[in-house]
Amino acid sequence: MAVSDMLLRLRYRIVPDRLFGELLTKSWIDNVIPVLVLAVTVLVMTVLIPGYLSTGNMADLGRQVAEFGLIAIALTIVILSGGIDLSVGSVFALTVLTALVCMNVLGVPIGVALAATLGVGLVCGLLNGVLVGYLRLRAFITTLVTLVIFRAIYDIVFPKLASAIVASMPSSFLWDYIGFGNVVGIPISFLIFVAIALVVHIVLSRMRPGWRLRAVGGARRSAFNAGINVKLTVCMAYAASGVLTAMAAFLFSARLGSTGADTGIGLEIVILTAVVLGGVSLGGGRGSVGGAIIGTVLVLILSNSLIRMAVPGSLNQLILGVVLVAAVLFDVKWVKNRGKILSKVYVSPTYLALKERPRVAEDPVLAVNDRLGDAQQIGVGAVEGPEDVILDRDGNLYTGTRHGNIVRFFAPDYNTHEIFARVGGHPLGLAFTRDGDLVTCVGGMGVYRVTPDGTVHKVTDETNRSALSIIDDSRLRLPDDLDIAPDGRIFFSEATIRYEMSEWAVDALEGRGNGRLLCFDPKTGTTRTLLRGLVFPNGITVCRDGQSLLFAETWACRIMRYWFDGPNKGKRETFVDNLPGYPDNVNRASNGGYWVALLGMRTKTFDLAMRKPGFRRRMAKRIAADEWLFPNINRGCVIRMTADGTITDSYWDADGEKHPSITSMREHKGYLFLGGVSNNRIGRVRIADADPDWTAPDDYWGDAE
Amino acid sequence: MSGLITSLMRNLLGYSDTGISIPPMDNMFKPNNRLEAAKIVTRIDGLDDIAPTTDGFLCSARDALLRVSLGPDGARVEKLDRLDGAITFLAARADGELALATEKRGLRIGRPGAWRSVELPEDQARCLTAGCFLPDGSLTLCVGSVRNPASAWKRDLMQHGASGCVFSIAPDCGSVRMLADGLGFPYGIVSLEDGALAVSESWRHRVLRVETEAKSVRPAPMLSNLPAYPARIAPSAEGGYLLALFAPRRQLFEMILIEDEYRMEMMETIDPSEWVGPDLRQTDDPDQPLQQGSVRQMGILKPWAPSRSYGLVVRCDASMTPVESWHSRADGTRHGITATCERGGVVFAASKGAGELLHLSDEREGAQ
Amino acid sequence: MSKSLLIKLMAVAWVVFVPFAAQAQNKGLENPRSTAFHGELEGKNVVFLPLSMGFDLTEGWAAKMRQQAERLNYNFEIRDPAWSTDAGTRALQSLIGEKPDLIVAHNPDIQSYARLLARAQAEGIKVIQINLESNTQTDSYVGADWTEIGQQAALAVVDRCAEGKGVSSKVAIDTGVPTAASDVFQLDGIYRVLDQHPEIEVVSQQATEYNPEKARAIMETVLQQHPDLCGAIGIWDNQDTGTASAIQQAGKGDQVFLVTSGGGNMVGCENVSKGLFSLYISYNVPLQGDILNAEIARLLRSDADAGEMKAMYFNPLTLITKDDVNQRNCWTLEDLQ
Repeated sequence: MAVSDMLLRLRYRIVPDRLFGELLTKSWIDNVIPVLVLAVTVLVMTVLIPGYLSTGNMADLGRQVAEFGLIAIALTIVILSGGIDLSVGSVFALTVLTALVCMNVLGVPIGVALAATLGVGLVCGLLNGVLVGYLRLRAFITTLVTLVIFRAIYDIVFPKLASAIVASMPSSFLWDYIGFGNVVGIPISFLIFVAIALVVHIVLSRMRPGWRLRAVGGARRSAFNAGINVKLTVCMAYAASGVLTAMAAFLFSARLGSTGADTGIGLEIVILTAVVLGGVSLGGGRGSVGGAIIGTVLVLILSNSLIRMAVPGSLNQLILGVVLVAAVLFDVKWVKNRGKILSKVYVSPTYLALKERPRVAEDPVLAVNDRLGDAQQIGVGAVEGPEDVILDRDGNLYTGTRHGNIVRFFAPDYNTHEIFARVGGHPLGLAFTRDGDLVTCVGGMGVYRVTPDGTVHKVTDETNRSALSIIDDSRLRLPDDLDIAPDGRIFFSEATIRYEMSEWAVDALEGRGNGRLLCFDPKTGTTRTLLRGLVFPNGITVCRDGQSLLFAETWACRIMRYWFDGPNKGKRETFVDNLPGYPDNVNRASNGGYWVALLGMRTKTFDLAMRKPGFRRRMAKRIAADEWLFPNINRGCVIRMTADGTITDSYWDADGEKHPSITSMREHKGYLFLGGVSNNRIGRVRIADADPDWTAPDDYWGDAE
Repeated sequence: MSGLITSLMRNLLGYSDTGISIPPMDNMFKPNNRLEAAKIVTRIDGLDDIAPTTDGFLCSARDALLRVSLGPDGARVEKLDRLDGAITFLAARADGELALATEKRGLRIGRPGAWRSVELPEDQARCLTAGCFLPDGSLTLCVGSVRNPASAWKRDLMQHGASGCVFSIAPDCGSVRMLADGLGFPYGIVSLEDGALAVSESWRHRVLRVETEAKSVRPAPMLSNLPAYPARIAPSAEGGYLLALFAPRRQLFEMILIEDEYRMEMMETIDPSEWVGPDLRQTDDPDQPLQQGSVRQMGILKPWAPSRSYGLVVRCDASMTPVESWHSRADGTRHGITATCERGGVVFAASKGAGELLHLSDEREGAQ
Repeated sequence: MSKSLLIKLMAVAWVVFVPFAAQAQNKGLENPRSTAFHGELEGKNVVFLPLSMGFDLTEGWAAKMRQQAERLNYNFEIRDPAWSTDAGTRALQSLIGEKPDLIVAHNPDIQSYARLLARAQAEGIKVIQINLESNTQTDSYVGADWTEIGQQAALAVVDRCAEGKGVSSKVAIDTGVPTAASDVFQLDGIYRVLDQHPEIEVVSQQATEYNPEKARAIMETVLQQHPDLCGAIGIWDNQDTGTASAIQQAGKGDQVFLVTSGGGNMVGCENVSKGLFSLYISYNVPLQGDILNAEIARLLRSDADAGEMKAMYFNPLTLITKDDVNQRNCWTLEDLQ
């Protein structure tokens, strides 16, 4: 048993299962599979075709990518907006004709030819745009019709000009340069393409027009409700498509110098294949320029290689058709199942072994009593989720609720209350500064400060990002508790970086060290991460030496001590271990020791489950969240310990009706005030041997000035 | 890691991880609060089995045999006998002859003070869970398991016990005839109209029809896919039956039953009272396992929260099809109904979890 | 010398010299040119870039070229772009990278491959263009003279439809791909003749892109508009099966004089026998195949640089009417394989 446990522990320490789930949350994950397929294809082709990676071949590929890629980007823009443009092939043909007529037949300067070509492309795109965007016609049918119309125009005009086009060649150096020139071996057309692609990528991903486009494509009605001009966005998408296709046609004309009756026929299918292969979702809203380019390269490599290997033409088409079907199928499945896969794969429980301990009932100090049974009830139903409670120098009671408010109960009987400040989120830990400002950790938001007149200021909501973390941990997801050092520095804990406030229970199932200890320095105004990999760090309290602090690691059932100043700076040691329950907040007691709230008690079955990560993973996947095995947080208690960690007494609510789970307690003038994050009231109970004049602000900051 | 990749591929191809599903409480099993709202007849701690007599009931509660008489001014409880250990079942014949069993000394037939012991193999004698007298005077008995005594039913469930059997003893304590074996904890037995027997097979959550005549016929299921574990069956008026169900099925419990490694270690290292599994009552012990949905929020435990115990009584018709049900949900206390009895058109239920004898109201009285 | 010594000498001479004499028959001389011809081409690479495989012209030429490749032991390969100009351009570009010894190119139009063929020549690859020219002249051209075909076709139609000869003087022309050599040069030939006969009226000139269905639809429309059509000139027999079927369906098989041209395949000849085509100008694929093979062998052995010496041969045409459909004029693929 011990050996297999040790192996299990080793396995879970070495193999990082959580990375898989975290990778799936990233937005660029959609591109990974096309890149992999591309890499495999290039590898296969390099093996099958000798001399595949030569500069000449790559230069040719570059030119083809330039033209195809521009049209792929055009189609991507339209698909991102939620539509589709089947007329790209015909627009391509028309604009090629325009470019050749201008250069070969009319002999105008190249700038004029470019303008004319782009102009024709713009007009065609606008026609599509007006029909689909403003007249709200269906994109598929409309662009199918314009495909036919544009091709008909081409078929009528082209034969009349055909002989004239092929009779002469333009004598423009720039024209030839675009068609055939290289810079350091890289084709000019490819460089033009790269420049355009970069611009489009930046606009799509980092600027407003791009966000609006994606919004319209992803959720049209919501975009409309948010005030985006949907019609204009859609129209502009088609216009952009027309212009980009025209640019591609210009490059094509420069390279080939002529056109045939079959120019652009079937182009829309090939480009569609490329775009879908690259991960652009046909449903709209998802995709990127990078994906389109990857798909283009893949399709070109495939079809070129098939020709190279002397595969008969019809088989070529068949293979590309099969690839398209497979890509669409995969895309549909991926979109449908990504969320499901993510939810199943994200939870990655690990091995956590706690020491054995005797039953609570057998321990005289910890045995269940009813000392909290007749606690005075404050604010029943008026506060929901009072995770932490604190009192100021005047004895007024403050607490945060899950409605985002900080509620103040007035001394001495606490029968009246008011909303002191509206912060938002769910204010969790509370602490007073030397000047009487109330600083609070707000779950889901960050650390905020409320001045005595009720104005809310933000202290910090970000920290330094660690280089090796896939999850963006510069944001604060669940700041839990805080305390203030004598020099004003705020030390606070973030319970977990992998889950949001609403899912904190799943972190219990994981048992991973997902949390961290942070410090905000008011002198510099920055926040730094001090300790990483802590197991749900929760309560924090600064020790009386002013150089160290205690923090609770909830699921590990222990309290640690960390020196942040002085000769021991940076040292971390276990303060008390193998607690009978899960520690939440830790606060000072009047006798020089500490109060610890145990929000739930350890059960043998859950401890066993923590040693079986595979069991927990299967449980997370197979049964509903409501049914998961959980620590017993229907029964909690408060324990008091001495300054060196010996537990001296415990306080329980025997039948668990009033205070089933206690997350925080504060001592004030001989009374103990109780809070619970799943409760709807605060409790107050007299502590017999507590100093009746002791208050926390005095203990921290001395007498008021 | 390979598990993650295979699950990724399976999800992509459209297969989903087959969940662990239990039949929903729907139709005739739609939850209500009728058990919680029922009138209490009397409180008897450890109440387990009841048998009707002419003027009231006989009840077994732990090691005591009690008589409960119903009078105009309430119920009167009178202790008839105290035995050597917990009584595992109780059955009464029309002429007043009784049969009961204890874990230590096995089967006894007779009357209080005049018991005749019946010799049975020890592994059968210590786990007699239900019994019923047939019209011809023979006594049919259910043995829950030959590997575990009656009080260790949790262990038998966790071991996937299938060693229970049903046999009959001819009148005058004659021959023993085995009627069915290899059953998963039979816990209730009643005779049907046509002479066959209905036996509730708890671990397979169904009610079987066992033939008394032709032994070669395998027991056929009459009512299966129950959402809870069935206990004792009693005859009801108009040819129907009353089925008591003593503990609920939960997805988590079903999962534990297939997670061998966890279950084995749990059985070896943890006390049965703290096991993850069904139970007869909610305990306040902080050492008890909890499910995430059972956490008290804002002071309230929701009735639909997953709980380890549940109160459920079902009335079926002659073909064992459910027609109505009484429930006590997660926020109630009257759980662990182990026996029912209909007397004078009124249904009575024994709640072992709460230690109460309940008077269940009829649908006609309109109480929901 | 004694008689016996003489006889012995003669016997010895007989024994010694007769075997030599018997062996020394005339075995001829080794022909160094033959050895060179059969050996020098070994291992060379010839690539055929057709418009597409799968129809009579290209299959016929490919069969001929394959035969010679097997006979003379060089590699013969086909890159099939399946009617796509773009794919063909890409194939040609990648061929330029691969540097075979010789490319046989079939141009979709006169401009698309022009620059690329020039580049291929610059890279030292020898190029023969077959039947459809481009604007670039390369080492060799083997194929039909389209101008000549156009002239012959127009003359035949004029003969039939001039003043008073036919039911009217209306003529319809259907072309293929407007920028292909078969179109531009054939139209030039046709109009050179028609310009001299102004009474002939061209009522329709449309491109069918080698599609028989489109040809049929066009002719159907033309016949509806001009029921007294006298003659029709089509540029290729494979597409003009459509034209012919439209004419037959309208019941004007005897009225409309349909001229077409093609490779001389047996199917085309049968169409002439059936009366679908009135005149079939054949450029004779097997003949072209033989000339092509000769040019391939010549160029592969030649020491001259690619493009240094440019040759061309426009092969003679055979005019086939109903009366002279015979074995010699018409071929099947089996004959060539």
